[in-house]
Amino acid sequence: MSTAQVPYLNCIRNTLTASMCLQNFGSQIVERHNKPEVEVKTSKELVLNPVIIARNKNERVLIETSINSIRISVSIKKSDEVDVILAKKFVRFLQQRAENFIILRRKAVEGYDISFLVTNFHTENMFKHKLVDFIIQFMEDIDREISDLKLTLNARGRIVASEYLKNFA
Amino acid sequence: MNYEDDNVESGQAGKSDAEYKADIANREKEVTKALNAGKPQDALSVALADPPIYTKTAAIKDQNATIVLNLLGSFKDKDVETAVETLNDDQLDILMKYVYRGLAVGENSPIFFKWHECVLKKGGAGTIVRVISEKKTV
Amino acid sequence: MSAFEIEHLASCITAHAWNADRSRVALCPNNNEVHIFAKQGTSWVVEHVLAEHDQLVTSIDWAPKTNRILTSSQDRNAYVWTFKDGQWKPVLVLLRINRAATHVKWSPQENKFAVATGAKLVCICFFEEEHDWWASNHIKKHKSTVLKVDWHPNNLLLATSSSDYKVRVFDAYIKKADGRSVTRPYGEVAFGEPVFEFDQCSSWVHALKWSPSGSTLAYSSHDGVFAVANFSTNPPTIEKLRVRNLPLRDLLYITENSIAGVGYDCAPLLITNQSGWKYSGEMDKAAEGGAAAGSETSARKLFQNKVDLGESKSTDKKLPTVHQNCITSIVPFKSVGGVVSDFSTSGLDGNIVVWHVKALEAKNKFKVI
Repeated sequence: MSTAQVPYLNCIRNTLTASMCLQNFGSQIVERHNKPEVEVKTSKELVLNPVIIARNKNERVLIETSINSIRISVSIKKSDEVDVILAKKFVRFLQQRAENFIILRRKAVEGYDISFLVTNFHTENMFKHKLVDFIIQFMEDIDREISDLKLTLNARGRIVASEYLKNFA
Repeated sequence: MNYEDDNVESGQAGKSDAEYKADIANREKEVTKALNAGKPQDALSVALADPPIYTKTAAIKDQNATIVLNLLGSFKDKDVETAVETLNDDQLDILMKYVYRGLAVGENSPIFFKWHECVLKKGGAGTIVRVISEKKTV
Repeated sequence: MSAFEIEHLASCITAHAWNADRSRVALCPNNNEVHIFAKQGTSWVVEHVLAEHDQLVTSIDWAPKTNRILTSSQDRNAYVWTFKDGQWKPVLVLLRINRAATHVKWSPQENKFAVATGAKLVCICFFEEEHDWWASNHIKKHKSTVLKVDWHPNNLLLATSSSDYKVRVFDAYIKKADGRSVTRPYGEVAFGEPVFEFDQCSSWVHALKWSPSGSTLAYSSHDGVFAVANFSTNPPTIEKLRVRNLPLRDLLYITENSIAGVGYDCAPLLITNQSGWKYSGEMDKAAEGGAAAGSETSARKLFQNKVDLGESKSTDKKLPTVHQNCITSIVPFKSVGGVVSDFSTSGLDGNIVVWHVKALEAKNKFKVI
């Protein structure tokens, strides 16, 4: 983890710890239902204020909280157009395997690259501090993953170009 | 929708928009004055006093927040901790709300991360909980 | 003596209740069943399984004098269970509601009980001899789900907390159950009209409790507010406190002037009245090693491996507290004349912990007053 990232991730970690306070809550609108209120948004009093933590124009996190669920959306670093393409491909790869990630949302919230949905059922079956760890770990890794991909892509591009130019030598 | 607005926002009467506007103009002057006198500490307590939480006009909140955020952004990294030390619980809660407003903008974030860290240390996780749960925003 | 005893009885516990002599505990392992554990030798074994609900059981209350168990569930029902011929027999309560039942509580005299519901009302239930069933009267007036209820020791006043950010106090006098000879503290208040309404909280109110004497009422909400209403005056005076920690899910009066609060912080904390209510410290500071984390860790590891995004250094990280996840309820374990000497807590980590107040005081240097 680069040191410049530390305050950003710490801030997110603390915010997540404070907002991931969920409880089981049966729907008060639909009989015998129990749905994440942050998704259905049927009762205004059960949804709390969303917060955004931005590191710069590109990198930011949106945390939306409700009584029984919390939605975390991440926008990842995109310094050039190659990053945009790589991020899109990478996220798509993950989303197609969303069930393996348990808390990954199949579709990202508008304006963000990737979203997580944590409900009270997750906090009951898994330790909260570990869920928070997971999300932070994920954010740390995704940046590295994409810059690795980019390095590989550039190296490959260089080889292809030099092979092609050999013809004219 | 089966839930009326007034349920959440209890009918406490705040100031009118006009009064808030006067407040803001005043606040801007006071903050500049304290800053020019080299007293950022005083500027901070002026900035955090009586935030426009009862108005529904977003423009007023924005205007007021600009003043506070400019002030917070003008602090040096090393001065933040001492500044936070002098604040009481009420001020810490209000400050944390502004810090989150600052964090949402995405400019000059490092200084807001510093504020966030210091307020959290002094005020505990409860300050973040209140930013998220209190419907009366700054 | 250790300051606490810990039992890992399920992977997650939503509610627990003790019988009168504390030899048995009823708990819900986060599903539609209620398990009754009895102590055999040194270990706790399941003695009975009460499976009548078909959705999550939200609350359990075990009446000490009449030995009846009351359960409520998200399936919109509540049952009264009586022990007959070695079996627990359920009787359905006619709640007449169409949303989840969230919390139940026997009145102190055990002649009636209250059920909080997601239908934005509270049912006051009483036994009708002529029909041989539990009937209910509704208290409406709530604008959102009712989360908790608590009876005043006088068997008449009922306090409710709701996700509409308010605490209300009602006079739950029922002629059929209470008879005519009782004196009502606030006169002839119409049934279902709040006697008082408190709005100090700006988020849903998680917990509320009457003090042993009934002279004060403490409540706590999701925005980290803790408040105590003092009923020695009319209208009551209210003292409000900001909690530094994460929100409190449940409260318990240890004495008239000391309250233990539990919640998302995984450690009970103490709030005392020293001419004004003040935070006086955590009751579980340096824990002597928590319980062994069970299946959750392995599930979590599996999940982590599947993710396969590099190694995580923190897979086996343990919190320094005894409970490893949010504590959802706190009940007295041993109490004499309103002074609790031992209490028990249960939480999402599936542990039931019995705490000894005296030993905790010595160890963690706080003072119950």
